[in-house]
Amino acid sequence: MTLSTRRPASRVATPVPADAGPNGSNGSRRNSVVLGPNDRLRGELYIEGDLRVTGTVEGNLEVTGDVEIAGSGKVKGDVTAYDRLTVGSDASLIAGEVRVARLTVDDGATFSGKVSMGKQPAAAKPTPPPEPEVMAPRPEPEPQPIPAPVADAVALAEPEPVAIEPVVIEPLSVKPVAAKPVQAKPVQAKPVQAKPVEAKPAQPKPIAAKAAPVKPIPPKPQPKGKRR
Amino acid sequence: MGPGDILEGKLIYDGSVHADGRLEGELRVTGNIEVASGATVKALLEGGNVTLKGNVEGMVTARDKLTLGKNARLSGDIQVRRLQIDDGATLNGHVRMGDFEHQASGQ
Repeated sequence: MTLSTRRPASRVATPVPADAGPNGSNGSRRNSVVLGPNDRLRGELYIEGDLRVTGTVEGNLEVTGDVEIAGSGKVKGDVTAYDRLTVGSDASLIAGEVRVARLTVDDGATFSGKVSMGKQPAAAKPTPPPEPEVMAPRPEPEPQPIPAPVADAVALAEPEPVAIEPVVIEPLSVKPVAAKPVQAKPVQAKPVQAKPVEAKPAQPKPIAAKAAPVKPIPPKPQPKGKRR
Repeated sequence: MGPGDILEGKLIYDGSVHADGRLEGELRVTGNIEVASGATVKALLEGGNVTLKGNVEGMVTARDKLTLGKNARLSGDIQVRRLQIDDGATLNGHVRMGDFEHQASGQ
């Protein structure tokens, strides 16, 4: 009996402070900033959390939670509160612009400015749009294109239907061009890699298709000159 | 004004008005104005104490005090000497506060 009653008690006691600790997961307690009656702020203030002003503020306030101007607090400047703004009965808010989700003004308060209310204030939050980086795969292991000139001529002449496929391959073959000169040296590649060569003709496709039967060699020299 | 009453036009009235119906135009009174929660008002309002609990579109002048009830929705500029806005009220407009007895023209 004794043991069983103690256990639940200890369980209850521990979790309570533990739950209170984490930031606003429950929305219960957020970061809170207080400007006391003798405090004074000039400038701009951005706070993620709540703000309570009982002192003097000259400047603009932007607060993600609540703003409370209480006591003899005085604020002169724009106020943006993503949640609510409360102006106490002895407090003063002289604003250019007030953007809040909810607003409470007590009788006796001094209040002036342009008020915009609605659920939108959150839209003012800076939302950094994730910029998708385009990953350009570098085709390293395809050095064939350069040795092509001779091989191409042969390849094009025989397999005409192949010319259609190169279209897809084009993008790959274009980039590698810069890197190729180094790897292009191996002469061996020509006969063996003759097939991949077909891919290059892609650039001069229209020409290749027509020229293939006649003389496919002329179009290729042009790319060489640029590369080297 | 009862819930079914409709006022369109301009009313200058020596007394107080309780509006519970539909009101369009202009309403200036020497007394107080109260707009009930079911009322729909698209008008310029001017009164001593103005209490809004309904939907109001238009300029509001309260020579003394303007009260926005918790379900009030006001779109329009307001000029008041005292202002009370209850939590839950919605206000969109420019607020000017101060003494302006001299300007009050509706009397």
